[in-house]
Amino acid sequence: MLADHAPITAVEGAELQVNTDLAVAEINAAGGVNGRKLRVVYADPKAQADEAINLGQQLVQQHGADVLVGAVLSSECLGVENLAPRLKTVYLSSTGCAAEDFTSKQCNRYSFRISPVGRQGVLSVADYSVKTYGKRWAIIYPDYALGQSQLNAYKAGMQAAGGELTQIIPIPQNETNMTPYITKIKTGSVDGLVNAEVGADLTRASKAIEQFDINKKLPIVGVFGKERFGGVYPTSLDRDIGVSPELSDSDNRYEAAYHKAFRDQLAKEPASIVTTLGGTTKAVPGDLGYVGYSTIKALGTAMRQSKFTGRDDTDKLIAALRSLRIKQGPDSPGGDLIMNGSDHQGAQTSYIARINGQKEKVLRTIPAAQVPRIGSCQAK
Amino acid sequence: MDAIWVAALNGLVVGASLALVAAGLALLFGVLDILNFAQGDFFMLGAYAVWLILGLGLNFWIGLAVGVVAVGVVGGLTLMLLLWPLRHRSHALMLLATLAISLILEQLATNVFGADSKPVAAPVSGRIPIGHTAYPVYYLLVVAAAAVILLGGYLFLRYAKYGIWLRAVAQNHRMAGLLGVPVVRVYALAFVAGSGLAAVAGSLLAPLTSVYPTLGLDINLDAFVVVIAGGLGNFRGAAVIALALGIVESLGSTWIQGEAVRILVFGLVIVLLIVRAQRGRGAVRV
Amino acid sequence: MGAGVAAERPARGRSDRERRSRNRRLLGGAAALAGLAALVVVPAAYGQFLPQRLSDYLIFSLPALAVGLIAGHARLINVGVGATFGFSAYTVAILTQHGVLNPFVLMAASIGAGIVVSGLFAVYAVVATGLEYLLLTLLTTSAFFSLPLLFKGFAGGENGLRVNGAVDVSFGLDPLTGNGFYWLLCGVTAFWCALSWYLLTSRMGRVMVAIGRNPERASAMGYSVRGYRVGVTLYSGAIAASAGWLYALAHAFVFEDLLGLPDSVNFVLYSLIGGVDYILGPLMGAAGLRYLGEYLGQHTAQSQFYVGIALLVVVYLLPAGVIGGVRRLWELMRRSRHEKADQVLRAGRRDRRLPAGRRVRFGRRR
Repeated sequence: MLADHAPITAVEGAELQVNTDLAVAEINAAGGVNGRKLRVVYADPKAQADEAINLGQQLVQQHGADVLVGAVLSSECLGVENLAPRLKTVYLSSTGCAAEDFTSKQCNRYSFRISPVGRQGVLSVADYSVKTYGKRWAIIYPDYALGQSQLNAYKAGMQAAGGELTQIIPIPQNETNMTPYITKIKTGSVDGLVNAEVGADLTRASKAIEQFDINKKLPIVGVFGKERFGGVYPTSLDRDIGVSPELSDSDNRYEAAYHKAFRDQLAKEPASIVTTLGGTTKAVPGDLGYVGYSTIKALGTAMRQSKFTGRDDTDKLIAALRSLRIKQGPDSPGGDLIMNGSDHQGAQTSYIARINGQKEKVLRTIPAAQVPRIGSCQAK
Repeated sequence: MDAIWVAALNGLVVGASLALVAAGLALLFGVLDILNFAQGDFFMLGAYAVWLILGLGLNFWIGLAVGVVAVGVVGGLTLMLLLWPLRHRSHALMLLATLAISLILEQLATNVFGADSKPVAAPVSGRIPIGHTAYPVYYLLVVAAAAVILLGGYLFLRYAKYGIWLRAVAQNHRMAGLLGVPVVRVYALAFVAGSGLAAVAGSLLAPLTSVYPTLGLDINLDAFVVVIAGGLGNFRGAAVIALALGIVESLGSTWIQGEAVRILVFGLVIVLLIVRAQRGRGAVRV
Repeated sequence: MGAGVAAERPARGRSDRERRSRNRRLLGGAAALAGLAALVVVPAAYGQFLPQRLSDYLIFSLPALAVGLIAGHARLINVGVGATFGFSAYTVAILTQHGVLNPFVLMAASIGAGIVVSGLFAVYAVVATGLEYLLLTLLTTSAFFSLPLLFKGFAGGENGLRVNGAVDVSFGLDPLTGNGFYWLLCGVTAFWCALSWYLLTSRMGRVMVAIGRNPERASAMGYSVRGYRVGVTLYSGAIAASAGWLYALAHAFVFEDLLGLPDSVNFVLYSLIGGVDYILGPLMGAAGLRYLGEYLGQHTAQSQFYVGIALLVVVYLLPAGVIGGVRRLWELMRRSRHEKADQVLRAGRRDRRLPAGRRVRFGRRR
């Protein structure tokens, strides 16, 4: 497991570790996989792609890993994806890895992604937004690959729904002062704003949006998830709309059980991880954590179905992953999971929701079977 | 036209922020010949000080004062203790030491505060209409505060006894010592003032930047660019260049893509450095 | 007449010094050959991922060597070696994306591209020194980091770029299996180390050291300071570029971090930690620090903290780097052994010369 614990990826790495430990503990408690316990070997690439590639190679060739999982940054997971066929080892991306290219352009036989990404969520939320609020939208986005793919996704989504991005405002990555960019938003000329920023840039952009009162004048669509904010939504994100495969205050019994198990597992983790996630009382898995959990659960299911006992059964595991279908339940508490056998991109039931204080109000549910495909890559 | 006024105002805000951070860096370099890679981390700690104090239900300005004292005094003296033994060694070792301190501070901040980004509320609400834009009053306050602090710093260096001593030590510490200047005390003051300036910048800007452990990394490079372009050790030059840079970036981003503006700025500073290096050399160039 | 102990030590002539110097050189050469032989044979025989791990260390030791040559001998700290390294790696990736798969063409093109980039740093070496030079290289590297983002379609942007061609581009040697690619790396590293040693011990190298120590004096003696600085920058650029070429072959994937400041700073760290004044210093620094990073990454989530502590330990306790520290310790031990031997010798002579009961007086004659 490549779990980044560098400060810039600490939240993702922490969620990945806790949820992996939880999923592995549950799988082993239920008897393991074909009579064998799963064992996780962690390595920290420290948010560096060459470390991720190096450690991936080491985990397989030196430690005998049967499957590689993880790597948070897009450059890391794309690098490890490139490594997987050379090592003839199955690789599943997990938390993070937001680049659509992973399955839409650069797919291969050995690499899989369980959770929906980019346009798979954006197309649905764009459709909802145009039909609910109007056709003209502004967008602020980070001016690098992730932001570019978000821009293209929203452009396509808005267009498909009959809308249009009339103000496009790129913001350099890690820009500490958002003011010059936020002030370019002409609130009188658009029906809504897409905030495609992530991480610390999202917090800054949201704060600046609040300071200029833009959130009072326009509906805002963007990434959400309490886990990014230590378990507590800042006021600047109030009324934001986003899409996620998991909700932090769901009343669905599977998710309730998952959240409880998450907090119990968190209490067993190192103090630094607990602090990063906001402490045992406030921490939530969110979609970052849920992706980590559902990835390992899906892997466990595929291993059981293929009677996987080691790397010699890699081809069987690939076949099982390609045809993976999991209904909502303990192994997939957020909703159904369907793997696309041709590009190895998964789809999960997703929820378009609005932030109301600390609650997340569901506006629309998108079943896994209706989550759009994002590419035509053929994973051979 | 409104867009240009707003962009210019934004440039002032950006420039003022940069000027505060760069001023401390310039001071440290001028007096001690140290390029401090950990300067951004003192900025980050100043921001955390405000966040912590606000979390305790206290006033923003108390947080700012705590930031200056705790980070400036304690942080500055700690930095001095760590770097003092290396004062006669090469620049490379000093840089290595400040880099190590930066790595340690970032990890400690992650461990103690968590890695998530924490928003900080501005102490002053209210907006001023500038064309179609409702400009937050706090942003203008930041510009004013930066101007006051930098002016105060300039006047201190020019007229106050310790300010004159700082300049004397920066010019020739041996001669200054021989003339009775308490050199070690002045060095300590430089460390404290340099760290304090970074902390006050972090505290003031926390409502704009939010607070997270790698905040210092993001601010460091810009501060280095300002200090280099302003002339290493030149307090006034750093402030002027910071403002110019802020306005160029803000106005430039109106018409050009963000990354291109960044490369343009780097290119301009490189040319400036080369021209300055050429001009500063005599007939025998080595 | 004052009594004294006449020195009976025989006069050490020039031939003795020459003989010791020749012996030291022979010993050093034999040790280097033995080390190379061990490096080639032992990991290959041991297997179990060791050749692949050492491959990674060797690739990153070359840019560190490049930094060490400039920093240790020309006394210019170059934080831009990463730009050369990364640009060279990107050249390989971009060419393979356009169907160029001939390994010799890729090698020549990538090293050539890297030398062109280092030409820029050579210009800086002419116009600036010291901190100004460092800052120029820092800014340039930061600018290079933005290039893949600016030319996304061409260079892959933040997602990186794959190197096509599989093992065809690496002379048919698979970096992930077998020992062939590892031996290629050993060969390239040995070549650069040997060439660097030859150049540094030649007159050219001594002039470069003199320029590094006192450029005004060297200029006054008639040496072209600019010429030598340009030369050493381009030479070290070729070394860093060859590392970029090898990196692209080994990992089959390049990304913007290769061009950026973090990697550049890492190369400076490797050379400083190993010892910039020695050819093997950067190699040891690269291996040591990368091993430390791997070990910490597998055992703790606090690796950044421990790396910071390790750097402080080196700064305070090993300011000349690991090899410098070891050498200093060796010198101290040797000196202390000689001093003890001298004391014994002197004591022995005193005993021989003076019959029991006779006293020796030193000082003025009364």
